[in-house]
Amino acid sequence: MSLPTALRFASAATKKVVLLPDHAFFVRVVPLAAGTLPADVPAQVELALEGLSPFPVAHLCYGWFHRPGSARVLIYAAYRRRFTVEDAAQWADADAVLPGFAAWLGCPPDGAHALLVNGADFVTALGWDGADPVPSLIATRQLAPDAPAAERAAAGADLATQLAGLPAPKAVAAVTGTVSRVGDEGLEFAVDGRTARFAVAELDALDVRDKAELAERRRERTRNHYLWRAFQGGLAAVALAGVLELGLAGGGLWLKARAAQAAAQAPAVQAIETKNSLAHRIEELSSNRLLPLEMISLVGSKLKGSSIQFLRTSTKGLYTLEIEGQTNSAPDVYNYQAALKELPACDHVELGQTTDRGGITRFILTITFKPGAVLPAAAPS
Amino acid sequence: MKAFFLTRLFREKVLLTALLALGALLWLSNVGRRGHALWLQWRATSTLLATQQQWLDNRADIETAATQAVAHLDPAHTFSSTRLLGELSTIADDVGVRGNTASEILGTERTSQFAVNTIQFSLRNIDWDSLKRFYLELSRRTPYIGLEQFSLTSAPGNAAQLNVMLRVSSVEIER
Repeated sequence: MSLPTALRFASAATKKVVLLPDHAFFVRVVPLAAGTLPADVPAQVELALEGLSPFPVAHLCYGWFHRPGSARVLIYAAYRRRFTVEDAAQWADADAVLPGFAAWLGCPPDGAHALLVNGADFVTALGWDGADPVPSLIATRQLAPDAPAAERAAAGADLATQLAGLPAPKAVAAVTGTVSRVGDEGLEFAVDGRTARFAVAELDALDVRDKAELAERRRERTRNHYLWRAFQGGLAAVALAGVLELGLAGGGLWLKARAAQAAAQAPAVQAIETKNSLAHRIEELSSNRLLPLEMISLVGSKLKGSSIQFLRTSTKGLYTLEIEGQTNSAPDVYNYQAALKELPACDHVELGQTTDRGGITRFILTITFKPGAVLPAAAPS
Repeated sequence: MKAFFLTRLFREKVLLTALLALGALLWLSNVGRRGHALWLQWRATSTLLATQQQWLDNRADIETAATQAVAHLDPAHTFSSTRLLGELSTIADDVGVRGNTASEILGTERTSQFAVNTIQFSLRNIDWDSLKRFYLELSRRTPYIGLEQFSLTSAPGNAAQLNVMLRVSSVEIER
């Protein structure tokens, strides 16, 4: 068993398996028709029981053991009234209720062999012919709990004769429920130094309780499985949120430290920025002067013969002049724009908002000059 | 915990799961919101620190450039904001437009070595020639005094009269 599997089984060790005395059951090995599908086995079992038992199937506690590919099925059944109400009450919270000999059925295939299982008040013989994982024979003799050894030996010898053709039976002690473990993966028994395993689906077949009740328990188990998974998901989400919360707290502290660092060096940085900005402004005052009248003179030189009047001129940065003007001849605006574009110093001219009201056209022209193209006028001496 | 959970009644299991899921959802959503805010703050702080580091890394170059920018200026010819106001008034007086002026100190940006003072100066109802003379006189003070913004409008009712708004800056070197 792998370690994770062991842990899964160990984590669910509180579950309970009830093992019933072997002698309470009559046992038959029934051959299956060739090609019988696993899904058809329950119907075959019920059919066989109807033929074998004097009681209706509904009055029986029964189960069966079959492995995919087996050519036979082991059927065991007991009259329901052989068990008391107290017995049935104990079964209610059990995860599996099986005849004691069933524990041996989950052992790995071991070729032809035979076992003589000694219980407190019974001896059971199990024989495998090696051709099939389902035993070829199971027979039980009931004994008194205080039966003398001779009587037990005689019962064993009698059973051994039924195992003719198989290797000599090995005497082993009966399995008790306390050495079983039930988990999500199924059921395990420690038997005679080996481990017998049953999958969950197999357990439903092996279990002798009412099949409808088992189906309900199966549905409940499935429901519980999904609920538990959802609960685990919720727990994982809470754990994730907790980890993220811790991360946020750590991140907050780190951010606080970085913000403090930024605040601490802000005055020094501000001083450098101011120095840089002022150095540039002084540089501009010295070398890149704003020359508004020179710009106005340049654009004014293209007004000759035009009806355009300037209403407002203003500078935008070092090289852009915005002119708001008016004229009573709208084509003059476009002619003037074209004339300005021909100025060598002019980089580009944009005609902005233009309105015409009462025969007067008002417009805004934005003229951008090439850097260094406008030269300062000579200063008076 | 699994044993505890599985031994509860069905409705208790559903309730426990629903409460846990709701709590986890609310918590995760809250953590997500705060995480997003923290991320934005972290990005902003990182950008700020990176920018600050760039300025600090360039400190020596900027200080050299600043020193060079004022190296050719004579501290005796630089203007404080008060001196700048006086100088503009003197020029207006020389041009003969003293009565048409108004001025306002806009502010001073200062470093340990120098300062730049800015003043808004307006001339009202002056003619083109007076404006030109004023402008040329102002130009002679370059680079100690410089124009930063210029706006010219025709006076209402008389296109020959002009209103001028100037933003003038002066360099002041700390001695």
